[in-house]
Amino acid sequence: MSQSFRIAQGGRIDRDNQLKFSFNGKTYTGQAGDTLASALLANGIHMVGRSWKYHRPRGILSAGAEEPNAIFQLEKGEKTIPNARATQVELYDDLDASSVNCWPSLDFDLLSINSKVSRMLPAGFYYKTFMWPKSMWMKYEHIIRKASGLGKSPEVNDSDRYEHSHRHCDVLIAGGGVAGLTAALAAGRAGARVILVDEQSEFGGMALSSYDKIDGQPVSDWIQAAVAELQELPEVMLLPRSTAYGYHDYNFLTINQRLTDHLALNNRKGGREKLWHIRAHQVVLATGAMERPLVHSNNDRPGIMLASAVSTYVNRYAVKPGERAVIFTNNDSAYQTALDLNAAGAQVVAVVDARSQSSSELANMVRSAGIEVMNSCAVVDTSGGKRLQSVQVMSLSSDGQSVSGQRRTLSCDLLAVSGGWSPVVHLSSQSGAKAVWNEEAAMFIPGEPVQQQASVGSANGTLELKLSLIEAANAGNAAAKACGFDSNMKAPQSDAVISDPIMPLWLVPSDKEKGREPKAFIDLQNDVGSADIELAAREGFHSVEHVKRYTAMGFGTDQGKTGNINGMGILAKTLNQTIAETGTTTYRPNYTPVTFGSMAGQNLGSRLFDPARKTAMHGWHEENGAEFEDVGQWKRPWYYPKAGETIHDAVNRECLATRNSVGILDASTLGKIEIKGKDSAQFLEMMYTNNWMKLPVGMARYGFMLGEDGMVMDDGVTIRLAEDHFYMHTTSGGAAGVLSSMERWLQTEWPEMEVFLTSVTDHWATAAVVGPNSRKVVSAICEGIDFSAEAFPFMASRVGKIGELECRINRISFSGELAYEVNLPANYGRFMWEKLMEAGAKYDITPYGTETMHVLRAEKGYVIVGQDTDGSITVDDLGMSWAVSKTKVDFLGKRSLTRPDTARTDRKQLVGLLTEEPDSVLPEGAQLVNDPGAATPVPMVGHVSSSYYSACCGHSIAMALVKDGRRRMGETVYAPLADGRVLKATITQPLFYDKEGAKSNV
Amino acid sequence: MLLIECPWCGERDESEFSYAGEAHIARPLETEKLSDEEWANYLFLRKNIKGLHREQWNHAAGCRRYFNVERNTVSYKISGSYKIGEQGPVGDDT
Amino acid sequence: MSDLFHQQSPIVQIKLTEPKANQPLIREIPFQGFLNLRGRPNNPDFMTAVKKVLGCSLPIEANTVVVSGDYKIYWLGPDEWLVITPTEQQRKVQSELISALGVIFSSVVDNSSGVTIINITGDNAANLIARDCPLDLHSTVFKAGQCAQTRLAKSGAMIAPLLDGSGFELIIRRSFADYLLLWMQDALIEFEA
Repeated sequence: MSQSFRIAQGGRIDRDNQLKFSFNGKTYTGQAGDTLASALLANGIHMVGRSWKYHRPRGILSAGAEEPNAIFQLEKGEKTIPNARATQVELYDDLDASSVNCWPSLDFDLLSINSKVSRMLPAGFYYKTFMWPKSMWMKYEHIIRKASGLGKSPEVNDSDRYEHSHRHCDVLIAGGGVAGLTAALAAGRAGARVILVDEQSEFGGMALSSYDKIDGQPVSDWIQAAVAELQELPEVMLLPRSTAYGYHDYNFLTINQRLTDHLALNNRKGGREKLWHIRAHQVVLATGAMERPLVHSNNDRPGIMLASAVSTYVNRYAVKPGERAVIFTNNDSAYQTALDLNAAGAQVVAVVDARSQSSSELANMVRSAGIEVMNSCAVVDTSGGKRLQSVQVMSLSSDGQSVSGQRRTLSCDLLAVSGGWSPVVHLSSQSGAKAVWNEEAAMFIPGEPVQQQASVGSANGTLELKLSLIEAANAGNAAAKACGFDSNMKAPQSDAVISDPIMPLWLVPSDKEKGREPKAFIDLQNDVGSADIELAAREGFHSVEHVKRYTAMGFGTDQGKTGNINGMGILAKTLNQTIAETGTTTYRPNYTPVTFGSMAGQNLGSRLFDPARKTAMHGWHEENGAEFEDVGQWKRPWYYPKAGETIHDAVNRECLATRNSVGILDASTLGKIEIKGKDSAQFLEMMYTNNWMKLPVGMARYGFMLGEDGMVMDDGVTIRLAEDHFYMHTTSGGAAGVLSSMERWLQTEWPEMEVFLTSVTDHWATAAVVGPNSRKVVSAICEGIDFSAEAFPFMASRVGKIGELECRINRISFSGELAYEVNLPANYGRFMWEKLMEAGAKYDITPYGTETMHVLRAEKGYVIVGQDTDGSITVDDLGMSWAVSKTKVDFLGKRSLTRPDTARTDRKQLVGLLTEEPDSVLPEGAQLVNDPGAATPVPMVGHVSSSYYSACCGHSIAMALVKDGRRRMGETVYAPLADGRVLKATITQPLFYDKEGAKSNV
Repeated sequence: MLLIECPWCGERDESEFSYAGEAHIARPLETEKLSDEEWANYLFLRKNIKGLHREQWNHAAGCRRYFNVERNTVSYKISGSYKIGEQGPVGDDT
Repeated sequence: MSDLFHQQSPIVQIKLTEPKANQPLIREIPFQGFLNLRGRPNNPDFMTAVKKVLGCSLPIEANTVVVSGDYKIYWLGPDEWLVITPTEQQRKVQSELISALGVIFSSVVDNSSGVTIINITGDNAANLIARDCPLDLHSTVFKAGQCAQTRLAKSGAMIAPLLDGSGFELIIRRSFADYLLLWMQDALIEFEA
């Protein structure tokens, strides 16, 4: 194998299982158990991309979720993944990765000229330069996006499947390191329902990279035993490869589990990711801590890595990230990295420690190993191109504010840095707890919990293993107890380690003149340097949130996990205030990026994106070639084209057939509500604008419902079935809203009223049989009803039988024709429909859809609530004041009808429009003006609400809402269209067909 | 995602409920006697409280009952749910 | 009755398949009698009249089910119940309830075609539902004898654990049934392997 930086022994990789992968077109090998990052390092590859603004070479910095540089595009086509963090990508056979931010290639980058002119690209550069003139931004943006940007959006549909699941638990533990495992054991042993979530493939967290001991055994053995025990507990669920990325109200967490990303493409089966929605009684956050880089000149070269990441690569992945290493630190933990590198056979040139002394056991072990420790020193600069070649070290003053003496050059290919640790407070902060600055430990730690939640271990700022285990056991016990379980697990034991305190160092001083020093980077992903923060402060940005947005610090896929804290430190110093006063930016979901696929799950496509509600006759409509229209969530037949027919042909045919003989419409979607109780009529008096007390049993009435603002909310026909029993129809789209509105009045305002409401929308199938021959068709299949005009008048309702089935027939018309609505329970809907089709065959009964329904009703000037009204239209605006009682003391919305604006006589009113060209159909929504030649902005006087070609009239017809329209009969308005045409139309009454109403009166 | 206690069904996920605005707005009895200003008050003006807020919710996907919730509009903490016509809890303003 | 022959289930356009691997079994129990009953439980006349017809007291504890002979009665709300009867008894029960209740403030409404029953059984029954349902379905929390109306995917359902512990009974609305079954069939894919 050519993995020349692979250490001969140790690590958690599978040495027998070699994998091939390609990076930027070249093939390499790695081992099972590697991440893409560790495999690249095993092959000696540090430089993995270029920075987005200056196009400087950048290398792998970290070994985890915080990675700002090693961001790759994986795979191609339907499997492509933009912006994958190589540090978290498990290596699989034939993995294909490429750098995202270099063009035309990683080694030769045309845009690296930006690096040479970096002084011309300060913070806010893009805004300052390109936002003016504003009209040019779109053009600039196109070029900038190509030159910067991260991964490429997929150009084909994602072929993967994404799962969703909801769970409830007693205790959710985020983070499966030793603290999380301990908390899980405590709660799990007590019998609590526990979910343990960890983003890595193996539980154990940072401890997988260490040689610590717990309960006297190597930590890896302890982890293995703990995981084995948890797996056996029936109420414990372990979620590896899962990121708890959102912590919402009331302990609701969103977790993304990666199910197949670690497998070779051809071995993947089932869903790619699973989004868990978890509601927990108690949450324990054991999310660990992240190491911070140090900010000095040229701190961004490939070969500069976080010290703990170096230890992880050495210990966990058996990879040597360098042969000659310098350690630069301000705290104790990096000394372990020196020992780890030394043990792996790398040369550790020196430990450069900003602190004036380091005398802990760990530091002394480093000295004993013969490694030079340089106290009161700092790395002030580095050199190298695509790989680090040396670092320059100078003496650092005890306050960390200045450097002095000679530059000493240390030749090295690896600089392992540690600026201390930042607890991963993201989830705690998302939960509402404000992060608190701890001056002594120089870190933000979780604030007082505001939900049922506790943070433990290094996530809580408790970096020492022994104390971390105690904290975790206590939290696990407490969480289980809070859920009613008896839990008293003792904490696992570990040896105490005494460390020397950290010396905060946010910006390493330079020996160069202020303003002439090379760039020192804070945010590697967004190329934000220390000077940018200082500039932002000078330009008046003092709030950390403003500085973030001005400099772009903390943007991007890594959200500033490594760099933000240094930026805040520098901002605090620039503003001459404490970090506590400066504060931190807000942590919001998502912790790491989440795929759109995961969010969407299977709610995709025409079948599952939104429910399609279907009537009992849906299958018949499909079999008979109907085109469907969405009405709310309902699928309604739109029209039934015959071979070769356009929609217009079909609608013209359906209209004429209905007017001349008989048509049939599936009207099942209308809302239907049974209203029962002695106060029902009184209740309807309040709900509707007209009178209901005297409606005879067996008769129906049309009514308008208003909102309390006086505007039309819904309309429909309601039948009186008995003195205390009504049957209400609502619009198809308004059914749910009307029912809950009526329930609301009854439950909250008039609880003394004896009225019960029951929705029966789904129970009844309804066919409207319409046209001069409708009586013959309906009476042919329905027994027990006298269909004569005298016995069964317009607006009457009768019960009869179809075969042995009880049916209800309502003589209602939404077309101006003689018409009957036939109702049977929906299980018999198709049976009923086919019976009617059979009976109507000799009259050439014609099924018609919503389009014909619209034409027929518009010919008669009947309105559709929601089309001819829009929430700002009153009954009077519709010209239907006859439907509003003048005598009733009260009904909903009545008082609003006399408000000055509602009572105005020049409101927009419903009128008809006839176009000058009879065949021109005005587009619905078209705005109307009096004078299209007037100076802009041309005053708009109204709009077209309904417009069709009427085959029965032989010309187009339209309804419109026109200002003061009723007084403008015969006047002309114009509709200027988007295509430049201007249609001329005459205002008429909104009634175009059978103006005397003779056709329904038969 | 809130966890809302329906006075009948107990704690349920927010997605089962629909919001119905500020609670304890009684419909005036003799509406015709109200001045335009009084009517507008009832119709349009809401407190928009920063802090403890009494509001109506409907357990739309559940028992379809309307009830009142006292919720802190800053912290989203719910101090209690109560049936229409009942006295609400006296929540602390935190 | 011969007219029963003409009935069509709301999921007539769905083809239910035999479960593979770890898939739960999805089966419709079609054509039951469903009566929506409303009345005030604090009115003893109402409670007594109903008990006389159904042979048991209405469940007044929220989200519980009472079984009485051939009838099952589900709590829907503090003044609302769902009475499920065998198909052929629905008319009889409905008219008996109406006449027993007389002028007592109440409502008895036939909704037999408005809903249908879907039973989901097998090891992954709860996991299938939990794919998009916010209810806690765990057996220590949601037990036989309980029921709950809740959100299911982008629709709703009345869910009750089956008495034998084999899974769940779902009562869903007719117009959403096709969608919910499509959703379930898609959800089954997760348990295919």
